[in-house]
Formats: sequence, structure tokens, C-alpha cells
Amino acid sequence: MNRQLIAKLGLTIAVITPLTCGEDTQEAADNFPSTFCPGQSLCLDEGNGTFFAGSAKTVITAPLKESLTTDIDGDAQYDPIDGDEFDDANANGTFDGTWMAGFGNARAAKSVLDAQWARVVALRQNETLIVLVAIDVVGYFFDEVAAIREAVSDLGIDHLSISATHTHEAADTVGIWGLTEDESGVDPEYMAYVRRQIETGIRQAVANQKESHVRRVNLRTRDLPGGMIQYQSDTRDPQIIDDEIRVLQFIDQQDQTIATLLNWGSHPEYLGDENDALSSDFPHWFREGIENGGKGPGDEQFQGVGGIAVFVTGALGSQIGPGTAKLRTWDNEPIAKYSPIAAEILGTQLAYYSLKQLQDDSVATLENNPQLGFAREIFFIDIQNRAYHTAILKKLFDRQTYNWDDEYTLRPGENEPDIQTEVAIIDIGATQIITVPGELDPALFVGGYDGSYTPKGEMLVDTSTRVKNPPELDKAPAGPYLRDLAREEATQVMLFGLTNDMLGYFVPEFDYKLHPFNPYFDEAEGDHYEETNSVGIDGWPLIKSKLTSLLTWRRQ
Amino acid sequence: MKKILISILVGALAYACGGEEKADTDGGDMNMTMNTPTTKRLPIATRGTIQSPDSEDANFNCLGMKPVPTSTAMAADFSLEIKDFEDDFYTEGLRVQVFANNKIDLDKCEAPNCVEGMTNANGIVEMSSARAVPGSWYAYRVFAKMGTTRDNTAVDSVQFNEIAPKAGGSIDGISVSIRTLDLIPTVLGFNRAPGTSIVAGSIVDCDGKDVYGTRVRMYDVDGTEIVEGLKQSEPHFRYFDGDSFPSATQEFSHVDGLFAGANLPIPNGTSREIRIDIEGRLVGDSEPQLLARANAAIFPDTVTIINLQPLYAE
Repeated sequence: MNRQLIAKLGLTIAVITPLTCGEDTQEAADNFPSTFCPGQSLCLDEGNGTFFAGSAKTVITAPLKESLTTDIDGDAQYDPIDGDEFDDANANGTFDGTWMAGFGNARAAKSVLDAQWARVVALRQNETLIVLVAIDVVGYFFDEVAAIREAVSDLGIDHLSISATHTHEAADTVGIWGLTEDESGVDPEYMAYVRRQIETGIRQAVANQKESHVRRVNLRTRDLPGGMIQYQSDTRDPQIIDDEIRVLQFIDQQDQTIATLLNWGSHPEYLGDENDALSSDFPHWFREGIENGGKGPGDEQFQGVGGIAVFVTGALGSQIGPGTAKLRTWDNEPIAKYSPIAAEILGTQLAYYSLKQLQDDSVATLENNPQLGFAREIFFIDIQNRAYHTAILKKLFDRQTYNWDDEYTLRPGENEPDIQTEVAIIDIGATQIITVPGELDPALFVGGYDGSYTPKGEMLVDTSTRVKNPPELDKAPAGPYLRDLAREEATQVMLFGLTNDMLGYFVPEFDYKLHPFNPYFDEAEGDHYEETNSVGIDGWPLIKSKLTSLLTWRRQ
Repeated sequence: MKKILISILVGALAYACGGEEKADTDGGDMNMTMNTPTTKRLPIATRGTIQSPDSEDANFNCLGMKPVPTSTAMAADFSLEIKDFEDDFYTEGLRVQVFANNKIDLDKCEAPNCVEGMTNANGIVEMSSARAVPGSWYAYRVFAKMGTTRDNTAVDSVQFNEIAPKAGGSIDGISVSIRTLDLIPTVLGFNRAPGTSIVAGSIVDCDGKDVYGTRVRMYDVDGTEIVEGLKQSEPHFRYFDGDSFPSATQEFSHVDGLFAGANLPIPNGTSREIRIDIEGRLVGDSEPQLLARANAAIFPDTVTIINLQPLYAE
């Protein structure tokens, strides 16, 4: 089948679609976005405009299974060549661990440091019902999201958004962190449990919706003590960090917090790769501080605002995380990275400063009956990454593939699979949310090639060492960037990363470099790891074009 | 093809009726035209580096001149050090048989032609009564071992045309993990078909250097070519990327000289004798010519390893 024929088929679909359900002529003419609300025929905007919010949380912590009994080098990874041994509890001769995702293979969980959650906010206005879910996992495929949409289809939800916090300290939900590189780390029973728990949370949140208003505030780590570098770092040049912390509180008529939505970008891996205790990493402490308070500077006990805190990870690609961050205690003492105390201090400090700003009437803003709406696009994306091809062939990725014939050899550029994925924008009054299905380089969101998002004292591009294939900033795009394309009235623009899919990293085109002989399996010289964990060189440009179009949509 | 067409239309209707919407087709790779096995013109056979694969001509001045190594049964004790093909680790307790006549016998191992031993913790098998004469060809077989972890698991593998060392010498051998057996095909774009065989090897020139630009073809001993297929389950012939990593796109040997044939059927379910030919172009616009040839036996779910030298005198 050639591309021309397929293009014709696509055209046929575009014509059939609106006619089948009698949608209006404007939709027939444009057919973009394919789904939006309110305004589409199945999602009218009739009612008094009252805004409702509900929340819920359900535990999704994985059960512990077999673990290491001897770890010769203390790296938490099973390496029999070192002499490591495991507790073969079921005596089947195989190491059946709860495999932790995010770093290397063969990291079996031994204990639980803190629970992992599905946290849900359900929002309704007139006939529009939007549900936002954040789960403490490394990533969650579109197919799982689709399965949950089907399971809750009786609730009349117009848009369900499920974001992975990308914690590197919880059970594998993607498949590439098993005992070995070619064994899945995913436990199907655990995946089913997660689906059930998410469904339960969604039903609870939808059921307990109350009339609500919102309070919002934005703050930046650059303005906090120690500046950006005390909290987050960028280990791939150019050093560009979206350092904004966005807080959106949903409050009921009795002035009680229903939920607090938190959005910030840094890899939840402050516990490090030698941790064998399941954890949500810093988001646990961030949420805990927001809900219940904690210990602030000078041993001051600060109060939380109650409700359910929902943390959604932001633009953390290429490569935002604890890397070179200089974490400090309230007493300004340096903290060893990659430790439980690092996650606790960071999360607690983020909560403290967020609440301080949120409770300051001079900076926080209130909004009654915020206008609710969304638009989304589901589309095919070509998997060019040859390592991902291997994962697909070996069924490490448990998801549907399309548009190739799997009876025949998978050949790059000729017979290679597509997958379905999704982007969306969500309006909550003066808050606009942009969702991306992976790990977004912050520069794609905010730009920052002029150094305006570089931590103070750090170099945009480190020219002191001769790294091969450095970013050529003269080729960097001049903008507008995603953030610039948001509605002009939006005073708060959230970036929901790893939402409704996990496609790896999104790297700016000008700095996307592949290994010349063994692309995707090996890295190009210099700092180009992220390319090996991306869908392919054409991935981001396609997603960008979808988002750029979507961001022209305006709620009617 | 029809299946795809139907799924697109069904998907469109499901979306249109308010159900779960399906994707549009932007960005979809829908070109289902299958490429045929490579007929790409070969470059001149050379050797060099991955950066500069044609930095010097391959040396085939000895082509058709060297005598075939003998494969007679004479005493020469030696030790064999067995390492994992992919990661060089040792597996203790691997059963190994050495065949002085360069032929694998699946049924028996009897002196003076065959000796047997087990690897120790350092992968060493002492072949104290091995009968391969120094400088002659021998073959060995590593038996499958199903352990609980990768380092104590191996699949059946055999290697032919290895040169026996002087008495008391030590030589390297290879074991193959189940992971390697499965991983190589998937890296190349297909799954291994159970019950088939993989053949892997390399081609060197008269100086013993790996050769860039050659093509492998395999035949039954009666001369019937084993033809490359299009389906995953059919035979495939591939090369490596110049850095000893399988390549899905390389169309002739790179500077590592490595090749592989996978999903080679074993019609009788036991063994199959095949001939392996390496072709290449040595000058200008000449047609590819035969540069190396070897016979080998292949077995189900087994890796056969064979490294080819330039054509011998016979």
C-alpha cells in the first residue's frame, strides 16, 4: 500500500467523520481539533456555568516480591557475576522481583519508603467534565489510558488526562527495567491493579464534586533562597530550566481545600539509583507539605491547606533533575544528593514556599467560575528508534502498533510501526494546561536560548571543555515557543509532561544528533543520551505541529 | 493489507460515533511496500576503520593458493577458554565436546576423534586428550545449560574451522546466552523462529584482517540457495555495523567483517549441512567473485559460528 493510497484513505475518513454524527459544518470544514469541549455536538455548553471540583486518591504501591539478600557492591542491582544473591521465596529458581524503573535493570524493591498514589481532580462546568489524574509511576502508555477511558465510559467524562510523575523509585510500568534488558519489568497483575485503583479514584472524585472556585499562584525557584541550582539542575547544555512552580487550589464554598494542583519540572530521582525502597520521591514530600504542613525554616511548623495535593511533572527533559543541584537544609547545610533526606528536604521546601505564596493575597489570584474546556488530538506517530523496534518485537512494550505488517520483517523507514498518542490543551479559567506525551526539553516550552532560564552562576553552554557535537545556539529556534502560544489571557500556563503516554524525550531539532553508524543503540559523541530514548528524529516535529495547531483553538 | 484498511475505517467510524476516537494518519508510516533482498552493487573489498572503511585494499593475493588445513586425529593437548559471545563472562559447568575431524557428531563423542569436558569457574576446559593436530581444523560444541540467571544459561552452539594450537596451548571459545540468541534477530528487525538456526561468522583476508564490502550467501550442499525471505519467520542475512553490533540496514560486511544468517530452517528437525560462500569485488567494474567458502552443519535452536579464510587451494 503506498502513501498516496493511504492519503486518500485519510481524506475519506475526514469526510465521513463529521457526517456520521451530524456535527456542524464548521467542524466538517476544519476537522481540527478532532475533539473539543464545550461546543462540539456531544458537549454543549448549556447550564448556569457553575464550576465544580472533586478529588480523590487511591494507593497504587506495588506489592513487594523477591529481593536481594547479598549485594556485594551495594548498588541495589542484581549482578550474579559480582556474587549477588536473592531470596528465591517461591523456589522456582528465577528472581521474581518488583523491578524498579528509571535507572538500570535488575533493581528489585526491598521495602516501601512511602506510598505511591493515583490522585484525581474531577472538574465540571455545564456539560463539560474533565478528570485529571496523576500517578506515581515512571510512565504510562496511551493504551492504558484508553483502557481506563473505556472502563469509566459510563461517567460521561469528556476528557481524561493521566500523567505519570516519572518517579524513578517505583515499579516498572513501561517494560524496559526488568531483570535483564530483554525481560520486561512489568507485572501484568500490578498493571491491572493500577487500572482498578485509578478507576476507583476517578469514580470517587466525580461523585464528590462540589461547587468550587480557584486560587492560583506562580513562583520561581530562581527567586527562592539559593536560586534555581539549589533545587534543580540541567546536565545537558544548553542549561535551560523552566523553574516556575505553578499552584492551582480548588476551594469549596466553606473555604475548604478540595485539591491543590502542583506543576514543576525536575526528575523525581532525588533518592538515586542505589535506592531499593519504593517511593514517590520528592513529590511525596511536596504533597505532604501542601496537605498537612511540615517543618520550615528555624524549626517553624508550617500548616498545610488540607485537601488532596496532585503533583504533575513539568518539562524535565534534557536533562532536568538533581544532577548538579546544590541542595541545602533550612540551616543552609549542604545535603548529600541521592538520599531520602534529599527528597524530603526538596519536597518540603517546595511546599513551604508554594504555600507562602498561595496564602499571600498580594500575589495569589482568585477566580470564580473559571471557564472550563479542552481540545485534544489523537494521532499516529512513527517509531523510528531501532532500540524501540527491538522492544516492540520482544514485546517489552505492551502496546498496540499500527501501519506496518508484523508478519514481515521490521525494516527502518520501510516497514516500521506507528503507535497512537495524544496531545491536549485544557482551560481552567486563567490557567491553561498543555499536555505532552513524554519528557519535554524545557527550551521547547520557554525558549531561554538567551540565558534567561539558566541558573545564576552557570554557563548556558559550557565552553571550558571540548565536548563533541555541542549545541549550536545560532541554529536554535527564535520562537515562539509553546509557552508563547498559550492564550493571551492565561496568567498561568502549566506544562503537563508524560501525560497520556510515555514516548521518551523530546529534543529540539537543531540539537538532535544520532550516532552515525549505530543510531539509537549508541549515543552520538557529546551529550546526546536523550536521542537514544526518543521515538525518533521526526517525533518532536510532528508533536510540535499538533500542539501548535491545537493552541490556536479557543473556547467558544 | 486488507486488515489495515478495515482497521482504519472501523477506527474512523468509532470516533465519529462518539466512542474512543482513533488517530489521524499524519505521520503514519503506511508504506507497506516490502523491500526485496538486497541486490545492491558491492563496493571493492577493502579494510580499514569504521570512519574510513576503504582506507586500504583487502589483500586476497593468497586466493586459491593455501592448502586446506588438515583435520586428522593426532594428539595435542590444549585448553579451551569459553566466554560469552556478547559480554565475555564465564559460565561454569558448561559441557563442551571437541571434534578433531572438524565435524560435529550429535550422537556420540568417542576417542580418538572427540573428547569432552566441563568448564570451570574461569570458563576453562582442559582437553587433556584432545586429538586435534596443531594447525589443523577442529570443531567444538557447547551444550545448552538452563540456569536461573543469564550468567549460567547458554544455548547450544557449535563452531567449525578453528585452528588447533600447539600442544599445551590455550585457545578461546564461545558460548551463547539465550538472550543473545533472541536479541540478535530482534535488533535486525524480526523475531527468531523456534526450531531454526542462526549462523554467525566473519571474513578475513590473507593478512587475517576483517574485510569490508563482502556478501554472504548460503546453500544446501547440493547447491540450492537458501533464499532471503520477506516475512519475519523466513531466512534473513544481515551484517554488523563495523563495531560488532548487528545492523538492520547494512547491506554488506562492514569493517568488522561480520555476517549472520538467521531463521535458517532445519527441514528434518535434526541437522542440515550447508555451504557458506563469501563474495566480493576485488577490482574496478568486475563482477563479484567467490572469496571464501566453507561447509558447516546447522542444528535447531543452535548458533553455528564459522570464521572464513580466503579460498583454499582445493
